[in-house]
Amino acid sequence: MNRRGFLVDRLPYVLAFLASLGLALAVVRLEPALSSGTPAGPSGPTPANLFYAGLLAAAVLLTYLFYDYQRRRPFWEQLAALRDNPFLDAFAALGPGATREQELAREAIRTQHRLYLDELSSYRAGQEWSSLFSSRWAHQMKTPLSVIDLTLREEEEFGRCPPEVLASLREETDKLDEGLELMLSNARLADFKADFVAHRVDIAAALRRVVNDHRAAFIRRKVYPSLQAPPEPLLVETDDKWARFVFGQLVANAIKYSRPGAGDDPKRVSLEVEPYPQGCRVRVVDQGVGIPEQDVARVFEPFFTGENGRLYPGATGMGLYLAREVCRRLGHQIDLTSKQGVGTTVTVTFQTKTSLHADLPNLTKP
Amino acid sequence: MEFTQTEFRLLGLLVQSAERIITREALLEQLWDDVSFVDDNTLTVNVSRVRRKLEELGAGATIVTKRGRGYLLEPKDAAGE
Repeated sequence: MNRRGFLVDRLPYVLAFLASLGLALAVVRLEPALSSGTPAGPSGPTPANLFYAGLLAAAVLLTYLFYDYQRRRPFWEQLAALRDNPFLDAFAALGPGATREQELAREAIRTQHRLYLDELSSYRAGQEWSSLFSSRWAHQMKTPLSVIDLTLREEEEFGRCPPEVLASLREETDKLDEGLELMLSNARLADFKADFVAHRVDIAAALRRVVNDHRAAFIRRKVYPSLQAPPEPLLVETDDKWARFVFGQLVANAIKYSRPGAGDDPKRVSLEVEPYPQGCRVRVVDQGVGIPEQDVARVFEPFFTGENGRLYPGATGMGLYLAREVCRRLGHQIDLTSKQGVGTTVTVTFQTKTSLHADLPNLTKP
Repeated sequence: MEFTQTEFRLLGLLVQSAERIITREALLEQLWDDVSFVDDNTLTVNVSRVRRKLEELGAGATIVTKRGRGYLLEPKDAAGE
């Protein structure tokens, strides 16, 4: 905005000034006619006429202010609406400014907005590419892994390789598989909304499937599951696949951190389903190594592995983080308590929708 | 003489892998029941029941325990190995 623009913006102001000046001068000039009969004193206009001139000037000023306010107001109102608008693209609706200053501000915002969008879309493209790449990559790595797995199976049945060697190879391929699954889940989590269907799920049946998915790990680590659930099916509002992902993580952890049972005293991982008036709780209880007290508060942080992470190289620090993220999105609560040397209990709390309706009568009560 | 379902499946698995050692892990994995999960003790109990029943039947084969490796269904005459 140059000086000329500044002056153009001020044009109404200058006009108002000229108008009030002209009116005041006119009053002085027409003094004799206005105060008919009373001769003008040598000292100038009478006090009444001076007051009249002032009144005219004030009226012009007020008119100008009113006009200026009306002219500028729409833009301010839009800016105020924009300030309180939570959406990124709301700016597009901002109309042209009434003055050059307003127009300049609008153009400045527009330029910044465009630059920001360009930057954002380049990041978004990069992000999409890398998440696509990592999920494709994880999928491709699964192929050689399953070939190794098949070879191992064949070797177990017909080969001469000692079973200890096969078992330790198998353990490593399981770790690889777990890691790849984790990576895929993480990539899927990014577009959770597209991959989420809420429905009523029989929680005990879902847990049974989770346990069966991990049967090989249970057997190999000599840890045994037990499922305690009420005999009648208990329906919870959740997404079947994601709920199984959460419990899969919890069960895998429980197995991983259970010390192998010795002889007559095999370690157990128990899954306990406990209904309560507003929903149900599922506890995954292990008799494992437990988590040191100072680490318990941080287990849900991404990449946090703590003291156990140093002892067990398989820890990624992602399992519980992903479980909590999924729970947060599903609207379930997840808590963890642990005692070192005794075991860890993770509780997932499902709130059934009926609890909302159950509250309604209370609201209407006085 | 009656075999429970688990015992019958166990015997079937031993017959299938005839004269080759089958590991406890492999047996557990095969016997794993979707409803009541089979643990180590259950397997031990079932193996000894099947072994006893085979003896009572006078079958020509018996289950031999290979320590640290697994189980093997062997013809009776070779069982003393």
